[in-house]
Amino acid sequence: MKQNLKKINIYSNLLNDAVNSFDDFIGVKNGLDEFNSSLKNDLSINTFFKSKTIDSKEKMSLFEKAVSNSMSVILVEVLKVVIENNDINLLKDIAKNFTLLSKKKLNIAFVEVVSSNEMNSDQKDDITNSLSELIKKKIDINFNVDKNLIGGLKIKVDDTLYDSSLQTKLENAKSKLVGV
Amino acid sequence: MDIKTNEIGDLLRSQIKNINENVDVNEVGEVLEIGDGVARTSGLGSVMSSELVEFPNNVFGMALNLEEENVGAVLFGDSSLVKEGDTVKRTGKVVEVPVGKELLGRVVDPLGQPMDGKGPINAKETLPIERKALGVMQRFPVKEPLQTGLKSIDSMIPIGRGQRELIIGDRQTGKSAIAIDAIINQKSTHSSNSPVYCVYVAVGQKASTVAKLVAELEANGAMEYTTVVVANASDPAPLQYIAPYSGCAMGEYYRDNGMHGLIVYDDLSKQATAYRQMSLVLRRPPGREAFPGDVFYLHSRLLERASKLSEDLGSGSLTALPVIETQEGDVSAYIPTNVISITDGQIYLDTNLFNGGVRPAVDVGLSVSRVGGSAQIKAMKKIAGKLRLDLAQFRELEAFAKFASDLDESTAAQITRGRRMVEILKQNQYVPMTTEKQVAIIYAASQGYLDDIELESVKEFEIGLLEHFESKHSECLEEINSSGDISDDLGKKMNKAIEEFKKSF
Repeated sequence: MKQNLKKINIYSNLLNDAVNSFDDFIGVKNGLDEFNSSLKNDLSINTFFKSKTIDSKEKMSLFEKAVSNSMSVILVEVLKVVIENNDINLLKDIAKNFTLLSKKKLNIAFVEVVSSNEMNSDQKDDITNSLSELIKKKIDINFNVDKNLIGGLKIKVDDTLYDSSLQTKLENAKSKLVGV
Repeated sequence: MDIKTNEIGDLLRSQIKNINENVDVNEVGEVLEIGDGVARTSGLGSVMSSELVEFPNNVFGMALNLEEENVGAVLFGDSSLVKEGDTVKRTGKVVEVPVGKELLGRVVDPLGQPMDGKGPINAKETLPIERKALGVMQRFPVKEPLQTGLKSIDSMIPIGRGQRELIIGDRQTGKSAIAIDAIINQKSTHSSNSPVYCVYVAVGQKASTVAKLVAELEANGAMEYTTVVVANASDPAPLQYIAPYSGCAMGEYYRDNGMHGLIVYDDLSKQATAYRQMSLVLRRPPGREAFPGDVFYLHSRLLERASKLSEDLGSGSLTALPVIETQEGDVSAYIPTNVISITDGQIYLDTNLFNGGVRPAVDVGLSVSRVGGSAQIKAMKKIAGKLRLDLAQFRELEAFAKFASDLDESTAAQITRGRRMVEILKQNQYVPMTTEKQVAIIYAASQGYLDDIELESVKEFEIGLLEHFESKHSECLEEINSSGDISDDLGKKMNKAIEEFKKSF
């Protein structure tokens, strides 16, 4: 357990040291997320990288061929070491730790916007720009849709939730009326 | 109330007008894992220890383990309503309960929510359940008696207002009965100028037992000045853990407002067990008997809150009667020794005495009250010394007497006296006795007036004598009550009255 924590710290620190701008960060984060999701969703890829019978050189050359065009160099290099050391299982935690470290280093806020209907790109840009200006940080934003909101928005900036959804307002009104 | 449909519409409209107010802003986290009544959450970076947190579906919890990566929170509700990935909100306040006289006559859960179906509790004040115990300068030595109405306790193990007196014994030895009798006996204080308000905290008991108890309190008119806090055996461990603290906060209200409170924790062994369960699930390291390291502090910080306040703070008091259940009479187990060392004495109940018909089954040799003596009235103090001595001598000789057939006269006399003393200390449940009557009967026994009464007739004699005092010599009882002492003159009057009754018995 402790050994794993140590490894996670080493890998994530390596990645964090290499990112110096918000774009770098997004590139590495997306690369890690994509690799993680392909490992999760495709059993053959997962089995290939976790297999102990396949030579690690073979794994690495195949990996390099597959991702060298879509991933940043530093991420490819770090992932090669991860594959060589058979630490694929730690990837999820590495991504989590890397995000936390870079968030501090690059002053990034993680924002999740939930709306009742799909927003168009203009609306998304509007929200992104206004939020970025408001919180004076670079923002990594995600847009989601939840029909239950009925109307309004839920915006989560790091650990703070700004809730102006109709669903919450109605629930609040209900508790006021019932007196609970 | 007669409200027309259009009036309801107006009411709704006026309420809905306010809906479009501010945006809800909350600090939130995410549930990482949930199970056994404990949730691990991420986020909640600024959450306080013991802060109330809100999960979906109206489930509340309390943040306990504040770790670097996550926060461990215990749930007060059904954990099946919370799932991984759910949002958890901070409430910004530590767990609080309503306090005040509005709670009298009510049965509430450890969060102060009514359980008796008598409608909402409109308490004006709330207090946090965890409060720091008062310091030395705010306190005053125990000096006023708290009468339990039980002869054996009020005479030999007296309890003072502000004292912590442990009631300890095996299962089925009458521990709760003593506590209930003490509560019922406080009824008489409500016709005086210093009434005692009671809080009964039931932890980990069967719901049927609690229902029976509440009915008994109601039947004896004791619910009018009592609040019952219930965390049943079927409630989650966190609720059982906080129940004594909630009850204590309710009791502290009386103490802090210059009144007198009596709180019964029934029982703290079950609270410790609930705390052990919670701690183990929170992955806190186990120690002796698998209890966590801070189990002593669990009880010490609770019992330290019982106190007698100084005159500057209104002279209020909170007396605590914690109950501990032992296994096979083992008082050297972890929790019993802890609580014995914290409290100002203990009432030890013995299974053999109970089965032998001595009820309340108080073992006078092992029971002690460290501070109550100074609160005892002079009259009782005078006769109790003699009683204690007679009983101690009787105990020494009792075993010996079983083997010897020929006993010398003085030994036989001591045994005779002892047996009668034991007999008069027996008392039925739910019939507490006033102090003056206790003094009268113990006085009669200690003066040797019962020595020639048949053992089987002692009970009958006691009832008759007390009736005789009440009907023909009520001035004696009144004088004991008003002066609190037995003067030589009063002694003579009492002797005369007892002799008079004996002739007719």
